[in-house]
Amino acid sequence: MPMIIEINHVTKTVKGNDLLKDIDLRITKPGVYGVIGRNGSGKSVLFKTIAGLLRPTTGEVKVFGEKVGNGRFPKHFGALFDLPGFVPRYTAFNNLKLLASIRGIISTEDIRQVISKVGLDPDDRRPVKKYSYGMRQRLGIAQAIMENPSLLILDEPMNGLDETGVEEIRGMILEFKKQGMTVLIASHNSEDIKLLCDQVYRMDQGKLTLHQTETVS
Amino acid sequence: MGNLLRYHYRLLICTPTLLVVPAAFLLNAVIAGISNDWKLPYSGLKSVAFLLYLPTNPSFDLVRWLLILTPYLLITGLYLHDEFTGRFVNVSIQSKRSTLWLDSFLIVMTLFITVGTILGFCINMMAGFLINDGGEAVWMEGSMFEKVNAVNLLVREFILMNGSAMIAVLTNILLTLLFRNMGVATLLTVTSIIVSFAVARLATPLIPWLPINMGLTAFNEIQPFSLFHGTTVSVAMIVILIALIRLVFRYRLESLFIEGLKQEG
Repeated sequence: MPMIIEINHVTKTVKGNDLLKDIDLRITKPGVYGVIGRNGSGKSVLFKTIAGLLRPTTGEVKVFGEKVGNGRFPKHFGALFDLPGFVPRYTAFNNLKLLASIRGIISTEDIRQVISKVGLDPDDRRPVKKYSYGMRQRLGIAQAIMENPSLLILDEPMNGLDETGVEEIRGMILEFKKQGMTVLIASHNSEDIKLLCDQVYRMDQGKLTLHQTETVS
Repeated sequence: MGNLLRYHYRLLICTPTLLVVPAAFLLNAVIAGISNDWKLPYSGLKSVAFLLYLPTNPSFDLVRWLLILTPYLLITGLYLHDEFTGRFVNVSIQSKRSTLWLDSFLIVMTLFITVGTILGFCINMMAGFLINDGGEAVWMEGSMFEKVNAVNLLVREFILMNGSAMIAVLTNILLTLLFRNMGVATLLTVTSIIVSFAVARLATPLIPWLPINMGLTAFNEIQPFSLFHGTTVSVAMIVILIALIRLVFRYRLESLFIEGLKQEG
């Protein structure tokens, strides 16, 4: 069985700045994996490299055994980066329908279900521009999970959420774990990491080190 | 590719955007009507061609020319801005190939300009027939209006104006990718249109080699060139711009994924 994520000696240099320094990482079992670190430490760059959006300067990234980057994206994965962009004049349902239409592998019923799953109303007629920050963040998570990925990358998913929202998203992530999904999560909040993650890595000035390990069952 | 074409089509070719372009053409017709005391020197289809026959008054008609081109620049520029500041990452992940996003956008953008220009011509046709007066005097002796029939004149205006709009929009896209700033790119594109207009007035032999002006049919009176020549130069320029856009897009791709476009203000 191929490894879920395999990163071999990856560096990423942009305009002379080393954003990633000799990163090695192997994830073999499904679970929740956290990355902590200050702003600008390289967490987002690492996640975007795993997602195939950025090409490593040296080294290689494999997801489910296949090399990614340089125009190749991983299969069976979903991602949430920053505050996701949606069409402001569209409803939540129409936004997801538009994105889903690019691959055309899920039904409108699946879209309705995933919107309900993140605590939003699929029949809400309000355009997304009237949504709060937290509601857009939930919609971003819905977009990331709508095609039922095996690997989910969440970059600061709790940003802008109120206490109830944070609790709900935590519950969702634990549910994804139960379903056998692999979740990579970056968070500032040490409580999120403590409650959710099986293994925690620290990112500091482009270097990744193992911070804490729980038992990944 | 088909699904991405539908994606861009749904967002770019919608009622609001399709209203703005004909509105600019309508305003152009009104300005042309006012500046001719609502008496056009030709009747029928020639009156329609006359409304799009720029420039009769060089400095004033530069404003009319910018009026026609600016909606194309703003609509496609704002669309690019919205894509690159939010949706582009999601769409790339969904489509699994970023270059497909660009190719499908360029195809839909071409369709948008063509549909916009067709609607604009229809609006001008209505305005031309409403205003048309048949005029008492021949407006310009020996002009194209005397030599070329109305349909040929309209076809010529449509092809070359469409080409000019394409070149302006492609220039704007290229500059947006280069500077990663939509505002700066639009300002530079408008400046290049003005400079090209000024060069054509000052160095008339260059007129047949300034593709961004090709839609200004009246320049053809100053320095004649054939429709074939105009089309060839425009198409060559479009091909060069598309090649440059594809090159810069690949070069800029990672910075677009990391930071998106620079925000205005």
